Amino acid sequence: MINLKDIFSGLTKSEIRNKKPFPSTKSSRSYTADTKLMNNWLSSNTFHYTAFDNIKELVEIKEKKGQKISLCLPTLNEEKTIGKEIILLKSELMDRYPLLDEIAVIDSGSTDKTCEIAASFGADVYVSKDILPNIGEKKGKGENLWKAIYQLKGDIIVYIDADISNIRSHFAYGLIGPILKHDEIKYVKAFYDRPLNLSNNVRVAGGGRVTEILIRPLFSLFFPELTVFIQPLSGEYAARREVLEKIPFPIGYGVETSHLIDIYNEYGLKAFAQVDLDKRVHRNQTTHQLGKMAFGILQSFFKRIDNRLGGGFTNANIDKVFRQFTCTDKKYEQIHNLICEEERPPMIEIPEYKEKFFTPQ
Amino acid sequence: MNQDQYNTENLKKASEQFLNILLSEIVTIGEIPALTFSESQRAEYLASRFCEAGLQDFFMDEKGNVMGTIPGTGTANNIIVTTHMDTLNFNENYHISVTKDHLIGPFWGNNSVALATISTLPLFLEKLNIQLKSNIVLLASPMSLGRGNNEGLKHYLSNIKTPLNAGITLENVSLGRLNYRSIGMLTGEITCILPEDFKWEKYGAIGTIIPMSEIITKIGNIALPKIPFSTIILGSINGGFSYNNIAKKTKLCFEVRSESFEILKSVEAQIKNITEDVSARSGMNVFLEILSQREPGGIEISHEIVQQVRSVFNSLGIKPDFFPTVSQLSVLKDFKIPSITLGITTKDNDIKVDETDEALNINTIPLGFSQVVASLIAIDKTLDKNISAKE
Repeated sequence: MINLKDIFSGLTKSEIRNKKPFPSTKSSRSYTADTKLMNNWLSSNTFHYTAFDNIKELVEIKEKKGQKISLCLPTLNEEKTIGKEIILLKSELMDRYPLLDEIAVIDSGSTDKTCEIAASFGADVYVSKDILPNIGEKKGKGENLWKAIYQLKGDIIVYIDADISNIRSHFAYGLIGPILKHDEIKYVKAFYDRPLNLSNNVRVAGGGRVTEILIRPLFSLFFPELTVFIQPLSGEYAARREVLEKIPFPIGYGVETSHLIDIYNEYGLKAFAQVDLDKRVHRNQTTHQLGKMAFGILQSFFKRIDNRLGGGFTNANIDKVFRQFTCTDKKYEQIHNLICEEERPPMIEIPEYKEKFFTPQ
Repeated sequence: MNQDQYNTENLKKASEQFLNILLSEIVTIGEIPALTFSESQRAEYLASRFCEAGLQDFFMDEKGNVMGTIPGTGTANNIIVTTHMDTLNFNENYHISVTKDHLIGPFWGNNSVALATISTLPLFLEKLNIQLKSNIVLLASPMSLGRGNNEGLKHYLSNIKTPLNAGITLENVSLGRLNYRSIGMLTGEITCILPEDFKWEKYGAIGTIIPMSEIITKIGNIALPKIPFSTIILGSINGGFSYNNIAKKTKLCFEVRSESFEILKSVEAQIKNITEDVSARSGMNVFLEILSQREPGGIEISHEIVQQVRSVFNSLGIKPDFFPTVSQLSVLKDFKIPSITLGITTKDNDIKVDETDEALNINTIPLGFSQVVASLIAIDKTLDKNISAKE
C-alpha cells in the first residue's frame, strides 16, 4: 500500500508503483482508462443545451414523472448579478413554463444587498446559518449547497453560481433536461465555450487554469475515466436528491471535485452527463485566489484517495496553512492562509433530514 | 373576457405581476447586438417569441422586419404597434445590470424596453384573456436610426396589403410622452478632409479641425425662429488622433429639427453654402451628406385617438407631455395612418453610471406597460364605434 509519506519522500513514481500496486477496490474503480467506454460516454452523454430547448416538453415529462425541481443559488455578496439571474430564470422557467417549483437563494451572510434584491424579485431567501441551526455553522459555498438539500423540496436540485452576468434560462433547463429525459442519469455537469476558436470550425475545448493544471492531471493519474469532464469544476450542475443526500459535502473549494469522485465510485460513469451551455461570463479570479482554490481541492482529493495511499493523509498531521508570497517595499513576505476543507456528512445521516423527508405523513 | 371588463386599475395590477417577465425580456433583448443594418440576431430572437406566441400571419420579410398579428374578434380594423430594433454603438461585451430599482446599460438608442413590450404583449393579453375587436399588428423593424432612415418600416408599409387604421409607436423613454405630431428632421454629416495634393508651405499646418470649427461657428450663427420651433443639434465631432499631428479628417454629425419643412430646407441650403464657402477658402475638401430627412406632420390634438389615450393617461394618473417627436411616427404619418408615440419608463439621472450607460427606472415599467394596453383597448373601442356609426 502506498502512503502519502512515500509520495512526499522523494521516491519516483515508478519506485512507488514498484513498491506496492494500487488495490482494486470499489472505491478505486480504475487506474487505467477504458478508452472505449470514455469515447462511448462522450458521444452518448455529452449534450448541447439546445437538445432540451423544448421547455414545454420538459414540463410535461416532469409532470408525468411526478418530479419536483428546485433551483439553488448559493450567494455571498452577489448584489451585482443576483437580481438579473432570478429575473431571467424565474420569468422563463416558473412564470412562462412551470419547470421549476422553487428558486432559492442560500446566503452565507452577505453584507451587501444580495438578500434584499433576491427577495424583491421573488426568490425564497434563506440564510445558511438558520438552516439546521443545531448542527452549527460553517463558512463556504459547499455548506450552502449541502444545506439546500435539507431546505429545498425538489427531487431534482439545480445549482447555479450567482455571479454569472450573461445568465439565460438554458443554464437551468440545459442541466435539467438530461435528468428528466434519461432515467439512468443522476448528475449533470455544465461546460462552456472558452474563447479558443481555431479555423475550420475546430474548437479547443477545456477548462480553466485550475482544471488544466491540477484537476486534469490528478484525474488522469487516479481517475482517468473522470477526465471525460470538459470542465469538472464548473459551478453549475443538477442532480437527483437520491444521489445528493448520500454523499459528503466539502464545505469549500473541493465540493465539485468530491461530487464527481464520490458519485463515480458509487454509480460509475453512466450516472453522469455533461451539457454545453455555450458562453459563460463571470468574474475572473487572480492566480492567488486560484492557488487557495487548488489548495482546498487538493485536501478533498487526497481524502478520497487516502485509502489507496494507506491512510497517510487523514492520519498524518498535514499542515492546513497555504503559503503565498507578497512583495512590499522590496521585501518578500509570506501570507499564511488557513484553509481547512472540512466536510459535512451525507445529509441522509442527519436526523432532522430523515425526519423531514422520511417520516410518513 | 371583453375589454370593457378591464379597468385601468386591474391592468396596473396585472402589469405589476407581469414585471419579471418584462424585465427578463428587456435584458435578453437588450444584450443582443443590433447595430443599424446588423439586426438579424435580434430579429431572430423576436421571431422565435412571435412564433412561440402563435401569432397569426407571422413572418420576417427580406428587409428583416418581424411581424405577427393578434387576431381580433371583429374583422375590419387593424392597429399597428411598432418599434425599431436597431441600436447605436453597441459593444458586444456589455451586460445590463439589474438592481432593485434600476436597469443599467447603454439604453440610449437601445430600444429594448419598447421591444420587450411588443414581444410580451401577446402573452399578457392571453393571460388576462383580453380580446380586442381589432387585429393588433405587431412589428419590429430594422434600419431605423441614422443612415437606416426608417428603411425597414417604410418597406413594410409600402408592401402591406392590409389597411392600417391606427398606430402606436413605442420608445423606451419617457413615460408620459404623448406624441401625435412628428417634427421635421434632417440628419447629416459634414466631413472635412485634407486634399491629396495638400502642400504644407502653401496652406500652413492647420489640418481639418480649424476649418471645421469655422463651419461650426457659422452653423451656430444661423438664425432660427422660436415659432415654428426649430433647432440645430451638433451631436458629435471626431478628428485627429494625437497632440502634434494635424488632423487629416474631421467629421461633424448634426441634426436639424423644425416644425416647418420650409425652415428645414432653408437651413439645409445655408449649411450647404457654409460648407462650400469654407471649402473654397481653406482649400480643404468639405463634404455635406444628408443621411435622413422627415417632414413634419401628424394628427391634431383634437383627434379622437389622442383624446381617448389622453383619457387613459388621466385614469392611470399619468401627466401627458405633448411635443412633436422624431420617432417612427413620421413614417406612419407619411402613410396616412393616424398614430401616436408612447414611452414606457423613465430615466434616473441621479444614478451615477458610465458615460455610455443610462439608468432606467424599473418601478415605472408596469405603469408604462399598462398604459400601452389601455391605450390599445381605447383605440380599439374608438375604431369599433366608428364602424358601427357608419353601418
